[in-house]
Amino acid sequence: MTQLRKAVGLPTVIATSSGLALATVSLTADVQIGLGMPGAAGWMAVLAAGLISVLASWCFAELVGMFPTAAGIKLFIEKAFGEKAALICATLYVGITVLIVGSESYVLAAVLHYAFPAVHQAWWVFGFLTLMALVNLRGISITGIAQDVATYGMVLAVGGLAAWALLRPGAPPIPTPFELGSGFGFAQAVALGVFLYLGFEWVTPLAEEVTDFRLIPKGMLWSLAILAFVYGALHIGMMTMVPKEQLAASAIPHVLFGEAALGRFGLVAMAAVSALASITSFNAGLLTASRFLYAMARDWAAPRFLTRLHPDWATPWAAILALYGLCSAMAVAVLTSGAFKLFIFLGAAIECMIFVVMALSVLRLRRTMPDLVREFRVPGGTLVPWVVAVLYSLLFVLVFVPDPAHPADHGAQLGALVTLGVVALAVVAYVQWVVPWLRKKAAPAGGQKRRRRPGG
Amino acid sequence: MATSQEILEALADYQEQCNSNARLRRMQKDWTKRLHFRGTDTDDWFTMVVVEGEITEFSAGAEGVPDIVVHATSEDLCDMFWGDLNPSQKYLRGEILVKASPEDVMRLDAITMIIWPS
Repeated sequence: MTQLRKAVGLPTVIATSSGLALATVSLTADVQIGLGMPGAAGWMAVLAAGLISVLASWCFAELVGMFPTAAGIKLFIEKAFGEKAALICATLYVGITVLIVGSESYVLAAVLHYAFPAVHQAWWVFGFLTLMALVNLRGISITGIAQDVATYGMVLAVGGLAAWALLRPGAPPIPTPFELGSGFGFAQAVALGVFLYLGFEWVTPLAEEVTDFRLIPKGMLWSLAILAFVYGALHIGMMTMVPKEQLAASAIPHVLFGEAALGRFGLVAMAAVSALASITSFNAGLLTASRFLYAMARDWAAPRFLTRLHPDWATPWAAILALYGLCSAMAVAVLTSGAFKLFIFLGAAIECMIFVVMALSVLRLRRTMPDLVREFRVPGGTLVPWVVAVLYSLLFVLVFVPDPAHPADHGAQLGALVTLGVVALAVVAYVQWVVPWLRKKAAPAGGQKRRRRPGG
Repeated sequence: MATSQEILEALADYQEQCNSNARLRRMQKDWTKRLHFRGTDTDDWFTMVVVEGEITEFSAGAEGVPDIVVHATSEDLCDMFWGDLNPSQKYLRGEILVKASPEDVMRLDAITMIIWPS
């Protein structure tokens, strides 16, 4: 097979996977997962969530090795369970991910407002969303070297700051780093920890660009290791340097940590990391979501106006603007309610759900397409996919189980469950009734179309 | 199964359609790429060169280092170049495989979208 002129190598696969998961709201969630555990022991939940994500990444690797395409998740599910299931799961997954943007922009705005109080939080939110929409409209994507520099820069900044805070002479002792606490508290922390890795699997479309397919599973593995290190170190740093009650009440705990460790310099450094984290994850997220919407419209599964392309830049401007509107509405909702934690629970749940679906797809395709070439096969027969399916199903449930020790989170958990239920029902209804209607409307035009191919 | 000659005829029509479309030429004015197409059932290869949105040449065989590689059955390639097939649908079902950056995949689909909108 011929090689592409510009092929992607391992460092970029790792940077892309890590960069997609490393968002500002994830830095906030890094505190949330440790609230039900003693002292700074939450790092163990971060690590455990990362370790089981390795098993999930193997499932993704097997599927993308069978179908190396950017159509990814939807295609895997379609091959395993049919188009309707694929449309429901993929739309729900992409839709919920887009909703999390409201929370992401809220937290970023809170960070920037804290660093530069002269500018109101609302201006930061809309400035950021508008900038990202324009960047996407212009067709600029942060890829290759830019992605490498951004991701490795963030990793070095957060890791370096945590190392300085914890290892410098006279550093305060780490509070109870190895005390697990209650089993329930740990299990729920692991469930929430899944949120920290949300998006690492969005690297699979790079299968269309890599020099060697094996770079995808290898890259995801390295990415999970890097993320576990960054989140773990940051978690210990935050829990050591800032009182837990103060962290729990704040939307910007990582900035408080930066300030506590290095004063104004640390504050600005963490604000810069936040901005970079939001830009890289949001840029890629909007790019993927707008192309998904465009592709759905091209396939007559979404309104036709979403296929409109910019006359100069060949970007799907209608899909980008539709998402911009949705993200802005979510940002307003979070800005007025301050309910950003709801989306951490929601994100953790949707990630658990998609991992279960991917594992079930692996199992199903092993039976229905046993002879199809698999560039990568999950080791251990069907054991690992079964473990992933069962484990993440349990974690999915745990996300919503109220912890009596943290009544303050019950509202966010309930809100997440209700939001997930409402969005899921809306998506099912859409796929059940609207998509067939859109396709029926398209059918006469397609049916009357005269073939151009001679003799066809 | 489409023959190599049939695909070359389809490519000739495709070149004419693309190059005479002012809207497409405007949209692709900064797009210069070398594309390879492979018929998965015949293992026939084809090369197309796009310079600033204009298809300047096409030929049988895989010539030069490509920016984009498209794998599809010979029938799908032929139908795609004649505009009788929506490549997006085939791509989403994994029946057409593209090796390229997401931007180039988008551009490729945009071409078909513009010259055969339905």
